[in-house]
Formats: sequence, structure tokens, C-alpha cells
Amino acid sequence: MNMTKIPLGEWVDSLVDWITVTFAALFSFFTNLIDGLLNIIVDVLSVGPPIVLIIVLALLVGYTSKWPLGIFTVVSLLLVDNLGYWDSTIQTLAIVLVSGFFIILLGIPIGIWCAQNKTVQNIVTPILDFMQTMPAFVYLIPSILFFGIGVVPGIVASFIFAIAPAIRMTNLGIQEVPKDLIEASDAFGSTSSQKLFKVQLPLATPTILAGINQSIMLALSMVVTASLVGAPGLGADVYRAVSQINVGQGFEAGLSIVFIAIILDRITQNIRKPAYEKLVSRKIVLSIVGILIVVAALFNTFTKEDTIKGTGSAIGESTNYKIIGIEPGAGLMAQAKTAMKDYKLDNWTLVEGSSAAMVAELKKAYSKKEPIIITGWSPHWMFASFDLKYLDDPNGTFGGAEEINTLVRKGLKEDAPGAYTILDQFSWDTSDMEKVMVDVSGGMDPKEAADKWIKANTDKVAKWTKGAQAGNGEEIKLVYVAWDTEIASTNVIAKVLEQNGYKVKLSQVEVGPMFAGVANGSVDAMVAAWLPSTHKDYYESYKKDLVNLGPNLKGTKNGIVVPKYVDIDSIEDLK
Amino acid sequence: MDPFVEVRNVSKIFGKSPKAALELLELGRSKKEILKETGQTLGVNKVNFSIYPGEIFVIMGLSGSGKSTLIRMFNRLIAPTIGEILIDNEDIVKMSASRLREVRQQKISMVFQNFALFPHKTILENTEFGLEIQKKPIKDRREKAMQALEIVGLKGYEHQLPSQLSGGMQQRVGLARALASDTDILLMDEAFSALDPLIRKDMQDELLEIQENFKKTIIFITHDLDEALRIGDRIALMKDGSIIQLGTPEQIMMNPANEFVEKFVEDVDLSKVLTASHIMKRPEKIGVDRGPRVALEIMRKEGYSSIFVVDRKQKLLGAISAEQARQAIDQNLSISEVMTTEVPTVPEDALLVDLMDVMATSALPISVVDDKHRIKGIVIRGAVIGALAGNKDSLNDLESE
Repeated sequence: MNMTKIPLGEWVDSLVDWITVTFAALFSFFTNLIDGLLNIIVDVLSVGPPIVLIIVLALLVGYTSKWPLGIFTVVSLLLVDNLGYWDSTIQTLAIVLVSGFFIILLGIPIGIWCAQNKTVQNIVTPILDFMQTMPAFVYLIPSILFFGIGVVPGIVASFIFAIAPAIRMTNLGIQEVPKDLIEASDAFGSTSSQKLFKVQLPLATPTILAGINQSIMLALSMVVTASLVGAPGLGADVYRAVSQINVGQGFEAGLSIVFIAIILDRITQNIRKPAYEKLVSRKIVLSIVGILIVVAALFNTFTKEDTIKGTGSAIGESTNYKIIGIEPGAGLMAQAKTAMKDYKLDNWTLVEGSSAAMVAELKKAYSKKEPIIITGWSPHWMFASFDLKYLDDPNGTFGGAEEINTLVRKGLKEDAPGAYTILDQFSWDTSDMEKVMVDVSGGMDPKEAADKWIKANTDKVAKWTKGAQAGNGEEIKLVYVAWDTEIASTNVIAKVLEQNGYKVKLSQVEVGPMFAGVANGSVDAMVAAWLPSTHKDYYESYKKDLVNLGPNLKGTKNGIVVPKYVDIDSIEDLK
Repeated sequence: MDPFVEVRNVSKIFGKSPKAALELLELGRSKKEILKETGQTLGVNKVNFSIYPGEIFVIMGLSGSGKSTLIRMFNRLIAPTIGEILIDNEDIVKMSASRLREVRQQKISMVFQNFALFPHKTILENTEFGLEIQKKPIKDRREKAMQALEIVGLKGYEHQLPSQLSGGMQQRVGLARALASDTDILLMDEAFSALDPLIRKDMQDELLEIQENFKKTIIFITHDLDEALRIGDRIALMKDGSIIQLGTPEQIMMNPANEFVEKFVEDVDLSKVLTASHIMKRPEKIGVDRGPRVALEIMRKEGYSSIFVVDRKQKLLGAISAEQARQAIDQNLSISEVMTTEVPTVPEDALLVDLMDVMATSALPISVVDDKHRIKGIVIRGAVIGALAGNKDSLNDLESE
């Protein structure tokens, strides 16, 4: 069977491209709207010292869910503050509140519409099913293209992922209103809007609130995912901990998320029937909260000095003082941070996300010839596809050239001597790797691309396999990160090993787990260790449990990269 | 009198394509046949009748007979598949949606079987719901709702929630809500069926009182024949969507249209249906200006032990026994000086069940009088027993009424 693959993915690609271009103005409007709203909420939440917000939240939780939970709120939030996650917590809270705001704003009307119109319900239900089951990561990809990297695509993805319960429960709540009450309402001559507002919505309120509660919890569960595209907050802390295999930090940040979840859950769950409603009526409490918010917002507008971010550098203005980074745990990011210190780029932010998100952002800016500044490294296919340049690094912060090393587990030499020899002798050039990478980024299957390169370079491959005894079907587990360089090299070496009688299993993981896996012997080898600088931290912590077979590629480079049309040449120009 | 509500050739078919079913209906097929051939359910089958102002019109039938469907057509909660329903000479079936809302607000209100009170609204807010929908000023609607609550005896409960009241009280709220809109027509869908028997009876009495005071036209659905007989001016008996008999309670009791009705009514407590006028006999009476000798003579001739005394306008004054007549002759007194004036009387429409008590405590036959206290007849024990035994010979001719 050799059927042509239906180019579904390509169709989606071109559709997304088309949408990106056609609705650019609309997207930038939404981006500004969401960003603006988020900033207002962050400002309001952080108007006083942490203790102010802690007390307000504790009173609110206590009022709705009895005093022991109020005390719990105080203790847990003080702990969060003490651990140093307060700013992240505010960010996360703001992200969830903004998502929640849009979920309520759109979810309830859509739910009402579904309840009133069978056709709408029949159309919306499968869309909701789709939205809920499609892995949330998938929304991130077009979100970056539409809304750029940062917090906005994260909020949009959370919104899409989390809106379903609000719509479903609103629909359900309205449809569950007893039929005789609907008849009674009709019999006295109500219009449909009178029926909706006087009978259906009041009776559906408990169900609708349960839906909103679920939606908000789902939105909160998305904060880690959202951090992949650069959303700040506790999610980014967790992501950073994962990519650095930092158990302690992961636990602290995770615990903070749990606290936030409990607080939000209790407030939204019990707001309809607060525990102390008899003491203070709900209207009074809601008014006080409303007044506090307005006062805080006004206070902000009056006291906030216009913090002029840059010192007037044109490139800073046009890029919003953002350097688009990659995974927070990457050595490149650590270098970039040091560089920002060295070059005194205090007003710049380094946006954390992922390499894929960075490339998406670059693609977007490049197609519009907008200025963009990224952290980059070569070999990378983007240098083949776009006209890019490294900014000069007079201080040498990014170090000189790097090498990609092959690391194997201890004992591989004894267990699979042939594979060990091949891995040891594996070595190629930047240009070789880029050939594979360009094919892959052009849509070719990595295995095919690897095969193609091997066929064209039999002489090189012969050097690697020289003197290696053939395997006997032993399984070799290779581990790699989803960087384009590693996808290329790992697939090539995997193919070569397979041709020499080994069965190869590939696992794609994050950088931290990649090192940890080889070190603890659960996988056999990796060909993706960037040394001495990019993966320095990981290498230092695991090197005693690893065998370093030396570089398989030399002459790599890290740095700050801009498209050639950007009119600066040195990192110093950013100041 | 012109009818207030006219139902003309109304049918209802439940299903997606009622056309085929309508054709079969025209051919006179039964509900079962139509269901079998088309899969459509016949809810109401070619119904025709008129309701007059101030009437309590009861639609009675077992569950599935189509009565609930029929009552919902009067305010178009269910639209008839075919036919016309004229309310005040206006066809509700063809009405625009906005006119329909007006009619629902101003002409027809409804009381529901399970009360259908809004659980999130207080008793007062429930009662003023119809007025709220009509966007009446708050002050007006409070006032009217309070009046309605007073009529049903729930003053003082206005700030409670429905869940805090008993079933009977909840249905009073339902009634008050319907009364507050001040509509001419009251639709009552098994309004009292969910209540226990004693409370049901109270509510029935109250409904009769309200009807007496406010002259509403009431369309009442029930599956309880006793209830229908008790409150209905006329009763329509439904089976399989058709009306099989329509008439006054007596007509239905005494002349069942077919076996079905007969079976239906056979268990009914006759003492709650038959009235004094059904069983009364011609009274023996004597003018008060006559002498006691005449009285004694009549008694001797007819074989009675006593005789009723009336004035020239036939107004009942008392009764005189043979001994009293003899005493009057001996002492040379007039009839009025010796007669018993404490004579038990009942009105013509008194139910037999209400006669029992009077009969037990009096030696004299009970006299039946009209509203001017003129004697119309007497009731003797034998006639009561005969009537309750189902002996139609002991009944007066009903058709003559």
C-alpha cells in the first residue's frame, strides 16, 4: 500500500497563515485588550503590600466558606509570600481572572443561546467536544501566530480549553428548569426575555455557578501549559523547575498553585450561599469588593508615574523591549540573562517560552519585516531559511564556539560494544546537520531526511561504523530534546545504528530529563549535549554518572540574533 | 346568553407530520388505528362545545384522555393542530404572538396541578408575577397581590418562600397568583388533585365562594368525579381525546350516554349528587285562616298525622298535628295558636347528604322551601332511602327542570 498522505496538516497551516494575515488588525486589537486588562488586574492586585490582598482574600474566603478556611487562606498565602512566589502568584491569579472574565462574558450567553435554540446546540456541542479533547498544547501553536509570544496566547489557550463547562452547565441549568414553571411563566404572558431573566436564569444560577467554578479550575490547570508560550506566573516557575529537574522549586511552585486553586474554588463555589450571609448580606460584601477594586484602580492611575521603559532606543521601542527566549532551563537563557546584566539592558525583558514558540514568533515578524530580537544558536535551520545575523558580543558573554557532545550511560561499552563504537566515532559538520534540518523543516519526515542524508554521504557513515561489530537486535534507547538540531542528529545516528543490527528506540524529553535519563541508566545514549556552556549546569550535576564520548559536532554558536533587515550590529546597540 | 368561550372542531395530533394523521381522522379512524398507521398520537379528537360567562365548566377524564392537552389549548400552551377556539369572539389559534401575550396577561390565568410556584420568589412576589409581567407599577401590583392573598386567606405569609408552606397553602398562592391578574377566565389544571381529601374539600368550597363573589368563568380539569359533581355547573367527560358526554351533573348521573359513563358513575355517592328537589313530594297544606276542624278533616281523609300551615302567598308558617287540631277544637283556638312553628326546612338544592342530619332530629317530614320561604314540597324518609338505593322511580322528572 502506498497511498498519498492527505495533506490535512498543510491545509491547516495555510488556513492559519491566511487567518494570521487577514485578521492581523483584529488580533492585535485583542492582544492589546487582553494585555491591558491583565495589567489593570495585576496593578489592582498588587496595589498595597501583600498583606493587604491576603487579608481581603482571607475575609472573602472566610465569609463564603466559614472562618477556618479564612485562617487557612492567611497561613497559606503568607507561606507563598515567604517562599518568594508572591509576584508569580499575582500573575497567575490575574491570568486566571482574565480567562474567567472572558469565559463568563462569552460562555453564559452562548449557553443561553444553546438552551433556546436546538440548532445552535447541535452545532456548539461537537465544537465543545472538540475543544475539550484536542490537547491543549495544540491551541498554543496558532495562538502564538495570532497573538504573539507572551501571556496573551496563554490566556487564549486557557480560555478555549476552559470555556466548555461554563457553556454546557448554563445550557443544562436552563433546560433543567421544571417544565411547569416554564408553563406558568408562559401562561401569564411573559416574553422570552422576561421568562429568561425572571424565571430561567435565577433558577439555573446554581448550575451556572458550578460551571463557572469548573471553568476557572480548568483555566488554572492551564497555567503550566500557558507558560510554554511565555505566560509568566507560577506556571512558568513550575516549567522552569521541570526543565531543570529542580524538585524543591517544583514543589514550592506547585504548592502555591494548589493554594490558589483552593481559594478560588471555595470563593466561587460558595459565593451563592455564603456561610455568614445572615451576618452581612451578600450585596454589601459584593459592593465592598467592588468599591475596593475601583479605589485600587483609581489609586493606581493617580500614583503610577509613567515608568519610561527605555532610554529612547528606537529598537527597544519597536520591539517592546523584549528579547524572545526559549525554554527557561536552557543554558542559552542563562547566557542571555548574564548578557543582559553585562550590557546593562535593565529595561529589557527576556521572554521565556520554547524554541518552537520562538521560531513561530520569528516567522511572524519576518513575514511582516518587523523588528524582532531572539536568542539563537547554530546550527539551526532558521539560518538557512531566513536572513539572520548574530549581534556582536564584544564582552564575549556568550562564550566562543561550542561543541555538541555524545554522552552514553556507564556500562554501554560492555553491553553493546558495537553501538558504543559507532556512537564514539559519530562526528559530522554543521553543514551536514543543516542539510537534514532544512529537509525536516520543509515538511519531510525526520527519518526520511536522515535516510536521504545517509545515502548521500556513505563515505562519512563508513568512518563511523569502521571496526564496529554488528549488533544482534539489542535495543538501544536514545533520548533527545525536540530541538531541530537534536531531531536531525538523533535520527541520523539512530538510522545508522539500525543499519548495523540494533533496534533503536527514541524518546523525546526535556533537557533535564535527558541528562537524568542517561545518568541513571534508564536510557543508553544521547548525542545532544551542548558544551561547555549551554548545558553546563546539567553536565556538572550528572557528569560523574556519565561517559562523555567527546564532540560529534564542532563550531556551534550561541548569541542574540536579529533578522538582517534590523539595523543594529552589536548587543551594545540595544542600550 | 352568548357563549364566552367556543371550541370548534378542535383536534390535536402529536408527532412530526400530523397531516397524514389528520386525513385518517377525517375518515373516522380511532386513536389506536392512527397510532398504528402513522405513528402519530391523537391527543384531542374533534371537540366542540361552548362555555358561558360565570360558568364552572369541568372537563373530566382519566389520565391519557386528553383533558390536560385540551385545557392547554385555551391559552395556547399547546397549539391545536386544527380547529378554532374563540375567546370573546377572538380565535386564539390564529392570534399573533404579541396579541397572545396580551390575552394571556389580561383574559386567561391558570392554576397548575403541582402549583408551579417560583421557588426563588416570596409568596408576594409569586402572587404579583402576572402583574410584574404586565409591567404594572410596583405599588399597584403589591396592592393587588395583597388583596388576592387576603381572598385566599394567606395574609401574613407574604414574605415567606413557597417551600415554607404546606401543599394546601401553596395552592392557595397559585390561586391568588391567578386571581391577582384579574382575568375573566380561570384555567385550573387538576388544581386540587395533589392535595389531601380534607384540604381539597376546603379548596373546593373556597373556589365556589370565589366564583360566587367574582363571577369568573372557570374551566376546571379533574379526574375525580366527586369533585366534578361537586363544583361543576356542567361536565364534559373525555375518553381517548373525544368528549363522550356533556351535561349537568344530574344529567350525567341519571342518563349516562354510554356504558363507559355508566361504569364511571356507578360508584358515585348518590347522596352527594341528588338534591331535595329530586325526591320531594307534593305537600299537604292548609291556609292559616282555616279552622282546625278543616285541618283535622284533611288529615283524616288523607291519613296524615300532621299537615303544613301556609299563608295566602304559600309561605310556610308551621305545622299542625291531629292532636293539636283536636286541642284547638276543644279550647276553641285558631290554628295559628296551636301549631308548631319550629319546622325543619331545607332549600331545593340541598344535597341528600345534608338532609340526613335534619331528618334524624325531627319527627316531622322536612319541608322544602324556596328563597321566599314558600313551601315547594316535603321529603319523607322513604323517598331518601329509595333514591340512595338507586331506585329511579322515587325520583322526580329531571328533564322538566
